[in-house]
Amino acid sequence: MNIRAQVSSVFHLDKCIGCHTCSIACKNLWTDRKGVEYMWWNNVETKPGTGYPTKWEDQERYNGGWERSGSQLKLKLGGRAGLIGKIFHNPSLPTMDDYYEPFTYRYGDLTSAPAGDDQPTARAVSMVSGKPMKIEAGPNWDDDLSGSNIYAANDPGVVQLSAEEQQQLFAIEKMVFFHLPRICNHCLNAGCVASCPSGAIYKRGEDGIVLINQDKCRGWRMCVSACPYKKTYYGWASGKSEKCILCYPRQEAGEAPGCFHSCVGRIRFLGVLLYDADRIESVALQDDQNLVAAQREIILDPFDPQVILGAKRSGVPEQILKAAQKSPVYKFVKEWGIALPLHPEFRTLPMLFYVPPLLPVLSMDNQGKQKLADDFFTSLEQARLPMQYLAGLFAGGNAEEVKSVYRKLIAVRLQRRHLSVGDLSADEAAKACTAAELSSEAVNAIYRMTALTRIKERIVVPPMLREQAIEAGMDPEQHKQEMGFGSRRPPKRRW
Amino acid sequence: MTRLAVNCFSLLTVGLLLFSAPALAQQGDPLRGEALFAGTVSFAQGGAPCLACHAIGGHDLGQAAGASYGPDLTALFTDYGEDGVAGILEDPAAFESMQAIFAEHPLSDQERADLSAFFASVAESEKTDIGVRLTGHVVLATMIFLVLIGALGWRRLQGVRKPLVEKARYGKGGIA
Repeated sequence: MNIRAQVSSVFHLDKCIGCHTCSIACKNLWTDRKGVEYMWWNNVETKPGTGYPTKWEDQERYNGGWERSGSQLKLKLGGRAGLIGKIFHNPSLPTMDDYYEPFTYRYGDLTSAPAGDDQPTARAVSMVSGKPMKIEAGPNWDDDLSGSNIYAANDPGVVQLSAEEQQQLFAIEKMVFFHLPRICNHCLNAGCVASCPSGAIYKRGEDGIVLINQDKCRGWRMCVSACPYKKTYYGWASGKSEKCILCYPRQEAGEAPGCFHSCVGRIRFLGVLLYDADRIESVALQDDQNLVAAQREIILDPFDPQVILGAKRSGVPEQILKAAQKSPVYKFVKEWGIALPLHPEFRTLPMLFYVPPLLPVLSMDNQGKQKLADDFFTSLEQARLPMQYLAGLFAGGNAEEVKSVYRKLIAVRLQRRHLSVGDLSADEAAKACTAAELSSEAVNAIYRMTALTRIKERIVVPPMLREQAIEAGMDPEQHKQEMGFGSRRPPKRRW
Repeated sequence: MTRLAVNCFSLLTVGLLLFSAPALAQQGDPLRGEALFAGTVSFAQGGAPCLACHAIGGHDLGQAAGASYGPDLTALFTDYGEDGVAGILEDPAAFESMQAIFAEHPLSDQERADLSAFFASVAESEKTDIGVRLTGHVVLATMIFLVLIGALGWRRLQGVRKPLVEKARYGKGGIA
């Protein structure tokens, strides 16, 4: 056993209201510079929809993630020879139009226009060329109640549904959508790290945050196509690739990452998970159906004395273990089992988990009165989203995983309805608990964690122990004296 | 006993070679000269083959025979005569630009004779300009290369979003 700690997160999709505050917080913090205007390290997309960049989930087009070849894992982008063959011309990259052409408005025209008969307008101009442009796309262009027959209909997850299920998604008055906020998943088996020809990308040993070394990056952009989530981006002014850094500078100061801190719906949970690094490859080699269960399997119980002993032997510090015991993410993913990874079939073992959206119940006029605990799974039409669609997103096609989560979410909903509205009998609530295989206490704990907790409980930033990480490489006293001026780079004229 | 026999034999061989060499040198082999010129047979002392810098426009030496770092040598024999050619070959390093190449890698008598015979054999051929043909080949190769790259990268230029929009607008069941 080789136990490591990973700062991971859970996004509760039923709570996301799609306000994009997270995206704006991130933009203002990190990507408000020249050449990176189009980047959204954090973006929120509408599902069903094609997302950002367009159809990022379609790996036949973008060749991201891993695939099995025999008993081994291979980057879908190609092996070593394949990567070198594409090094000067990689056909799997998204074009600017697939992200969107960043734009602004000529606000100055509003105040400086000469007096005339017409109201002055602020025309849209491209942030790339500076010329007036017609805005045709944006990072969440599909945010149109998802009825669009361009963006929603071409969602790679929707395309593979049966005609009946598609109709269910887009039926008038029952039309359904939800928001999917995405950041870098800080994967255990990251495709970007494996693909980098310069060896510039690494996963921090102490907290598992995946970073691109800006001194080493040579801008080959293999990571851009190898990341199946399209969460590494090329900076056109710096000539280097960039990605979400999980706000490690904020975390080192004890603060929550920007997008977590600013989240209006309080959908975001953060905490340490312990996992067994020796079993990563065997998990990634599982069949699509079993990937979620296998990944849950290597996440370890921080209260188990065996695990604690093993973790100490692998060099995980005491303070991190304490943080792992307080981690809300452990509860969501392992204890309650209601959070699933996004697209586990890409085999990167993403460490950002989602509670799939149950969505508001329809009004009785539309749906007819039904006993939710009994009827919910008698037929797939009763669920607002087709199970197969959610299974494609969160479980590698294994609908049982999603159903198991749904039963638990329904149990929570019914118990609360019994307690606060009172129109459901205790029997009905108890029946839902039994179906979900959850105790009444666990249901209450889920409700409490989802609805009532304060930020320190939702977001448990571990002590980052920088002094220990620094000590491993250099004398801390020397580090204190020398750092603070940025990294040493040769001047243009050379040394 | 055996060692003595071997020694005697090698002495004899060396002697024979010494006597016979000048006789052979008189009559060079133009075919071997061509091979030396083109570099298919290398010089004993390791000098660079002539073809690396010089062309013989009138004689077909293949695609690579268009080198123009040095002057074309078709008319060498006509211009300098047998003695002149022999003089040049004896000390190619006399030319400043050839110094670095041949100062430490002189040609042997046999090689000189073979080359000389080769130059004599091509002296009559008509000097043609290889440049036009070569330019044609280079242009053709460049075009093939570009077409290949274009074919491989076509998908990259197409993008994903635009075709979706176009298909929905103008294809089946669009909203226009």
